[in-house]
Amino acid sequence: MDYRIDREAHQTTVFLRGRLTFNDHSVLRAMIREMSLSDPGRQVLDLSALEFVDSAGIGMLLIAREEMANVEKDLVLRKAAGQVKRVLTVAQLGKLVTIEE
Amino acid sequence: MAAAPSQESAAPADGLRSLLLHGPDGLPGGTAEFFDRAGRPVWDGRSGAPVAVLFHRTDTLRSAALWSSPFTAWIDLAGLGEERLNRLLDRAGNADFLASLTTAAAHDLHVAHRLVAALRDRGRLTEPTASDIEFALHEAISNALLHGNLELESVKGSNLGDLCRFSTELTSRLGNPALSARRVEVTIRFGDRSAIVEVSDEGCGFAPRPRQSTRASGAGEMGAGESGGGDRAEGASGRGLVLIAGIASRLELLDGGRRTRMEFTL
Repeated sequence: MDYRIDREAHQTTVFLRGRLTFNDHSVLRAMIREMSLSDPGRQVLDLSALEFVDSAGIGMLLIAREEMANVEKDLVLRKAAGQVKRVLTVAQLGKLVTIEE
Repeated sequence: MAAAPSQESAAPADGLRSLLLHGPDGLPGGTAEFFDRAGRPVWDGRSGAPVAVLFHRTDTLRSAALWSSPFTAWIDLAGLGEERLNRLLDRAGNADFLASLTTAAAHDLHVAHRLVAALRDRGRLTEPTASDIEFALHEAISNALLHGNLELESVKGSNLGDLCRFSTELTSRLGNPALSARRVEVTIRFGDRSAIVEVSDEGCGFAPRPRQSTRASGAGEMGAGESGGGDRAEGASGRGLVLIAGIASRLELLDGGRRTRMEFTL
């Protein structure tokens, strides 16, 4: 998986691309650190180009949520589609993280 | 949902078929000598009969051509003696598809993705079942590698430090030759309206706690996952088997937790 960050005044949007699995722990750590240092209080993960996520990937999204909460930022997941949307639904992640279409 | 028509001969229901052998990256002791010792027919490069790919370099399997027809088995020769290879080939003859790799090789290759892509390309699986099977297979393989063969515990907490500790430990275990040489095996068998997928490892196994309710059922049924927790929406880890149970029509853990058996309705 790789990502790019789009910084605006009111929010930071991180566009994820590819497959998010347990192998991506190093990339996720770097991404979470960048998000923590970003000014806006609203941090959006755009999942529209994410093709696949596994349970470890979901766990890492929850770690991102926890780390954002620790620095008083809100994490939002946006535009999940296909397999990613299905897994987020089966995992009932909407109970813990704000999910937008 | 009905599966697309098969483009290959299915394994006979009443027993073994003998796969042809192919050694694309050379074989230990010389390819011709190896095949002589194996005493099994060798693929001539043209036959459409089922073929087992025997390899010893992980990069070999990055070739998409080796996942296409007529290849139906992929066997990593690392650490395999003749007797064990013959048993594997017999099992491959009893399955529609079989992959047997070391932990190191399976970690490097996205085995679930490659295998399901191969089944899609051959018309054996169609969406959305293919995506569900890829996810469940990926989860089962991840469990076999991480918690089975590498004996890793799940990420303990839900902060960055916990993730860093997991990363460090994963790297360390992969660097342990004894652990990374352990094997993971995937078999896939198709029925009239179902696919049975099994993943086995060489770890210590585990005893799952029973779940309260799930679509999955069976003697060794479970779904609580590596952590034993039953709620899907909780900590950072431990939900893999719960998610499989939510997707497969049947899930069983066998051999003391070393074998995951999943059934999918087609």
